[in-house]
Amino acid sequence: MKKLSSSHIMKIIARLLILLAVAKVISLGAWWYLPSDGQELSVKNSYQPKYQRVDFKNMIDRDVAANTPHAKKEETTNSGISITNMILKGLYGTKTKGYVIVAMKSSAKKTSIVGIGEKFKGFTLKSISINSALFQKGGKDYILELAKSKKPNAMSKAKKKSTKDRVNIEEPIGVTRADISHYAKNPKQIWKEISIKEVKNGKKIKGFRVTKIDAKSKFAALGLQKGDLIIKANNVELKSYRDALEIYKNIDKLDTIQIVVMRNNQETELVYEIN
Amino acid sequence: MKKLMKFLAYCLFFIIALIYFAPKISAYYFLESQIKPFGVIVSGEDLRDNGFSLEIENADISFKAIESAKIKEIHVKIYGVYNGVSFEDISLSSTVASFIPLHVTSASVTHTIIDPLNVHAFIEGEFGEAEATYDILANGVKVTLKPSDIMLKKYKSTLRSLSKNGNGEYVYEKTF
Repeated sequence: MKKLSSSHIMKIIARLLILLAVAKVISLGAWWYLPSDGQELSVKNSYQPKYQRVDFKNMIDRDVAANTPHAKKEETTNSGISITNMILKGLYGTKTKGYVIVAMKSSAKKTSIVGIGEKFKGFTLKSISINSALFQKGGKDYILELAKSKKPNAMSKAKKKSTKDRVNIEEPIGVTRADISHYAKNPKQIWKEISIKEVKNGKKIKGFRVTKIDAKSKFAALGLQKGDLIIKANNVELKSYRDALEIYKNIDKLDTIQIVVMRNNQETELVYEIN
Repeated sequence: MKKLMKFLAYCLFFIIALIYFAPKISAYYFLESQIKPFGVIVSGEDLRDNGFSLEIENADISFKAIESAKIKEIHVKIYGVYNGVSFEDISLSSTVASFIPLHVTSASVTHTIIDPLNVHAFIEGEFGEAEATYDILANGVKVTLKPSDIMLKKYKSTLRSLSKNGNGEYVYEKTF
């Protein structure tokens, strides 16, 4: 009798084990065919614009040395070379990457290219901004601004003649962080002051058209106009809402916003420094 | 009768074993790949297979590559006769702040064998309460919203896009 019952239980256990094994084999089969990795969103890490202010006229002009140097802080160094004796002729890069073209006033034609972290006449280049370079020496910071040519050059003459395919670069306009936090807290205010609509080329977005702008608004003060087609921000082509929103979301981390708009069939660059 | 009961008991055991051994994390990855073409990506999440359910923590949801929401906890239970996904502590992206309050306390989506042709959802948050039903056959969704005071005062423009019924609720209907 006992043998019978134990063999009956053993039979049930054996069947259950077989069912477990079958279930495991099926799940292993499913596991083999299913993906082993999930999807990740690739987000651009940096929306800092690349600064590019190379004035080639400035680089070859011998008289530049005679022009006013644009050094904010004057201090004679131990080696006898002052930052005021230096001219910043061009710069390229972002805040933390890039290089500048510098020369001494005494030999303006002899230029040197200095990368971030490299030294020039004892001054270490620390960072680049929209129209200046920050050098450091002896624990002190020195800002060297981009030298401007007073004479009208060939490039500016060409601009007057041509109406197509030219790029107007507006002078940087100041934006305060208070303005940004005001709009961040009152996003509805943005859409009261400005209306933007996507413009498509086929299925692809080619930019965002300013369809309405309040003339008294901060946006109008910043140089945007009705009809402008915003095509780039901080060197990122605005081909999706995501591109636009990523700039907006990272605005706290930015020092400068550079917007390229199509206005009257020509590109105009608006540059805002966030103070 | 006894044989039938035995057979059903074995079937039940097999289904339970199958649910327990099912590669839930891989199945979740498969589901992720299926929703990607619609522009929905869930990223940065921690996954845990708890045997009979899948727990997902700290998920970032993006729609058309725009980060749209962060969800602290998601519980997925797929039992065949009862299937449910519940969400807790959802923070919507600030980009939608103009349209809706950003914090959603909880949301749950259920499908049961009792009502196999409909999927039900219940959502609760600062905006109020919403009940949604997705009709599988008609391929349409109906959302009934009971707005909170905040929603009524500050988000009138959103409510204007919905139709109002006699109970003071707002209704949104769409067939895909």
